[in-house]
Amino acid sequence: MSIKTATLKCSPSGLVTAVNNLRLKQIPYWLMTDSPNNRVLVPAFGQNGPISMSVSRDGPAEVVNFSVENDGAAQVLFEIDDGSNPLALMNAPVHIGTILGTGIQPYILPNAINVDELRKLRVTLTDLSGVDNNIRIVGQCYRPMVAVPDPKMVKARVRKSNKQYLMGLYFYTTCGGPISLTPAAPSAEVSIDIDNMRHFKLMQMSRVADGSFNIDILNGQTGESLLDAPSGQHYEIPDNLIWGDAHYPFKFQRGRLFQRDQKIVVRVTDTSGLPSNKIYLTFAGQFITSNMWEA
Amino acid sequence: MINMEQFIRKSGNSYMPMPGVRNIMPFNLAPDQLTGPMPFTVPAAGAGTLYVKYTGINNFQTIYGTPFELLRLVFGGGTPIAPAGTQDISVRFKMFNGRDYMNAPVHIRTLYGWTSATGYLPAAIREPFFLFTSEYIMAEFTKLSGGALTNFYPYLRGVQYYPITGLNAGPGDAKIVEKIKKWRDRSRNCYPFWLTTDNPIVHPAVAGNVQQSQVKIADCPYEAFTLSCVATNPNFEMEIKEVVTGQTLMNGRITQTNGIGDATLPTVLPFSYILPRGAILRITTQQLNAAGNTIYLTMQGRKLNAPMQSFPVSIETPESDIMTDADYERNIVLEEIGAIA
Repeated sequence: MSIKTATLKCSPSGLVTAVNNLRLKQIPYWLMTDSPNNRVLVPAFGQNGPISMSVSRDGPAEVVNFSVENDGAAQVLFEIDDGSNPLALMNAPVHIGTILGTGIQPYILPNAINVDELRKLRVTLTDLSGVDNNIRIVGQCYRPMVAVPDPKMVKARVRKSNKQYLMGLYFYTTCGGPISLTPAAPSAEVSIDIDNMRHFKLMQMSRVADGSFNIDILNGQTGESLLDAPSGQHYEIPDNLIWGDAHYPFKFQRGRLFQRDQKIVVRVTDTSGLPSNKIYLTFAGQFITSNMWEA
Repeated sequence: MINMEQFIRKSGNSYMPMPGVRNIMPFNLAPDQLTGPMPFTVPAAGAGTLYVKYTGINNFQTIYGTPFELLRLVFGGGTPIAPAGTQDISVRFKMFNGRDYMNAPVHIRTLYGWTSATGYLPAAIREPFFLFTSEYIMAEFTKLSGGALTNFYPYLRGVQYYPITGLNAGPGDAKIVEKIKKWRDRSRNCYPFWLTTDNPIVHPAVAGNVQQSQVKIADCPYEAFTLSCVATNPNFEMEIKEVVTGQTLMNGRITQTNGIGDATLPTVLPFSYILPRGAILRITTQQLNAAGNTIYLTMQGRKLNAPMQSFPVSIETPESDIMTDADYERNIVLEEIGAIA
């Protein structure tokens, strides 16, 4: 994940003989919303943002996980702002309970986010709790400082910086907002439209819901389900078998590729019996620019 | 930990450990019964200290004896969730030769993981520690507040090696004996170390109160892997800065909820943090409500008693045949938090 640098030099006998000077310029870093907005106040059912999360010119940062302290539920939209058109990291705002963990159990991103003094992360928050909501987001980073005099390190950094336009972090959630199930309408079928320019490699899934539900996940074009039962059948299974949360998202052993312009279809059925079961689903993974395949 | 795959040999459809490594097993090292059998009693605050001695398994004085490789710390007793209750204990580790493993006593819940009847969530240490035959380390347990704790079970977890062959205790497999020898040499100047503030951070019951504490890296470079904290009141924010170089680790202030873990699930730094000799970390904390607070902050890592040097090649350089970034140093950190599939 991070640029790899040896820390120690050891003699054949095993004795540690030196510590790498270069490691003094590679540090862990906590990236927050810019001061004085470390704590973002989101009014009840209101919105605050976009708020920048930016690093200084001392060097770029690679965000590897997210954590949060918040008073109540909210939705979050992350974007990369390079001064021109902001690049969204998700197709729509997602529930913070699906991608922001805590200091003890942070949400490990399936792909790191690269930011520098010219490209900053920015966040827009929308309250769902109905009361004023204080939210403090932290991205834990690896940060190589620019004072590093190592040409290999500089090359590696440029390579990583360029690569992010071809492949990077992306989140999908259901089009049209969260799924609402009621006793009168206990089932639903909704779709997630994959970008028409970029493939999507699904790597992690997390959800927040009022109650339990059964779910099936299908490829909208082929009808193929991600859930394989005997005799090629597939059917809905309980959500807690294949969906995690921000602390422990469900991780695929290998990423599942959805080609550009395809649809992910989910079928859900309420099993909670609650008067209202609102379901927020988040699919996390990597976008892969389709031009890379055509070249 | 030593990679054991090289000592496994395939025989037909089965895999057999080579003869010299049959006696390598997971092990819980209990303290010597200095004060009677466990559970021990930690005296009430102000009433004294419990001294506990952990002695390496004394068996077969052959070459390097029967070393115990310490990888985890775990304790039981009291209630796991009471912040200022029965587990409010400070710990200090010392080796028989006087070597300290922490700059000051640390809070037990920033050092030991918790166990109950099922023994879950031990605390990992970031550099294995080999306790050779007849060596011992001392732990000092002192209650910070409250009455005596009478059901205290502190264990060390790891791997017990018997690198010998047969009942005559002759030398075992040459390769594994050689590996153990290298680990012994390595432990002379590279060993686990816990770094805490010189004193616990104490906030009076004043909202907005700001305190500054510092941690000095006195004698040799230090590499921090994780960060953990215990506080009597979670409503505070914290900033960490290295004052000699002015290097700041954050662009704002973190809180206990969004930025700091505990001994069982510490905040794993995305990249280990090297502090050179002479570095000073300044910890600024601000209380957010009008209740008092005592904060115990601990960094887990290792001391590297070697000079800082520029390496001729910086990227993907193997360090040695027994310890590389790939086979141990980062993997143990990242795998624990699920960053590596």
